[in-house]
Amino acid sequence: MTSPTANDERLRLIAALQRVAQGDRKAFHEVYRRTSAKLFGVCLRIFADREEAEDVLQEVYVSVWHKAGQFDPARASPITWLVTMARNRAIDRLRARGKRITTPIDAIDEPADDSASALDCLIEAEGEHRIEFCLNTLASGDATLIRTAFFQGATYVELADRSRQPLGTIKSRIRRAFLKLRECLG
Amino acid sequence: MNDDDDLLAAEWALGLLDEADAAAAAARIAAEPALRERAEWWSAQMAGLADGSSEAPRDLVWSRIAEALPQNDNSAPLVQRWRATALAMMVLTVGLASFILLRPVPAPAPAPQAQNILLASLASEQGVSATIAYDPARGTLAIAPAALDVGSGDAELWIIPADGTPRSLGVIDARAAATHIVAPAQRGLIAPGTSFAISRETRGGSPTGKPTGPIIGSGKIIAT
Repeated sequence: MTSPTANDERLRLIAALQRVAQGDRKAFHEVYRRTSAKLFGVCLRIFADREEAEDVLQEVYVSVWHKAGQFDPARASPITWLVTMARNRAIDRLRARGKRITTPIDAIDEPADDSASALDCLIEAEGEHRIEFCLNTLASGDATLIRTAFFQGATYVELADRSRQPLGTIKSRIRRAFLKLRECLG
Repeated sequence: MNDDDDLLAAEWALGLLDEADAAAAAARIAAEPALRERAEWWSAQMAGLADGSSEAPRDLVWSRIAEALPQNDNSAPLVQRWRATALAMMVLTVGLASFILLRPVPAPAPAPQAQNILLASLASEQGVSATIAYDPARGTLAIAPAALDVGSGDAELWIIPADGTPRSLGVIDARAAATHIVAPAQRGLIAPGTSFAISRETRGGSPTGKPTGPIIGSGKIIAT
């Protein structure tokens, strides 16, 4: 499933992170060069303000320096570990500011577009863009709920508030969407 | 794995659960390898959402990161842990030194307000728990933990300004010295006479925005 280049990239990152855990600054710079654009993308999705996104990015890498020893390649890919760290740090900061996002979510419960079958998923969703592809096979409102949870740290309760729908409805919609995603992701 | 458990893993990975449910899920995930594997699978899938929005940060971000690292090239972070006390002193010294080095050349007119490093020694009944230096010029906190018992949870740092309401400054590393950047909006809250406090929270920090666990260190902020 993973292409040779992606696998090679992953191994390089694992090796670099392991050297960072030993205090290797060159390896740390390598990790930064290979991953900062992606992590900055995550920060920008959470903080529209570029300077604030840069502040978060800076915090994330400083904590990567200190926590590289906790990275366990058996439990997560390096990019998953880094993205999770960036997302958690950004959401922590959002919460610390006491500024929960409360803008309404347009999550109308419309039927999914059935034109993309599970087979299409298998053919087209190779590697990195798989989750995006699979989200696009869901009803657009459901995909919005999942993206909002990921990028804004919204819980079920907050999603229900913001989309003005009953909590039970939101829960069952997302749980149904997870089952579809699982099938599509394989 | 039944669907309910798999869905629980997905809900936990995406952070959908409220505080109590998330804590219960985390406990099960820690105890059940099959569930943990599913939670990791879902986390990995969700992390893929970050694809497609890559954008290179400005070069100055790297310079700032390199500057924020501890200045000792020869010691690995792992090696530093066993001498946290020595490191605490060093972090403070380095912070002070770079502060002095980075100070602009004094203008002929008197500076309206000198921005001195602020210090706080945090203690609990068991003794000193951490030392914190705040550099108002850069908005950075150098935190050197001495003894922070967080069990399986996380340590969260709070500023308690004049109004007495704690504001979270985020989850901190309870074991190794680290530098944090304070959000611009919160910098004004850190002033001599106000206090820092560290509470023990569940993993990821207080879900409510207020301290929920025991205070494992607190101390007044003083000017240097």
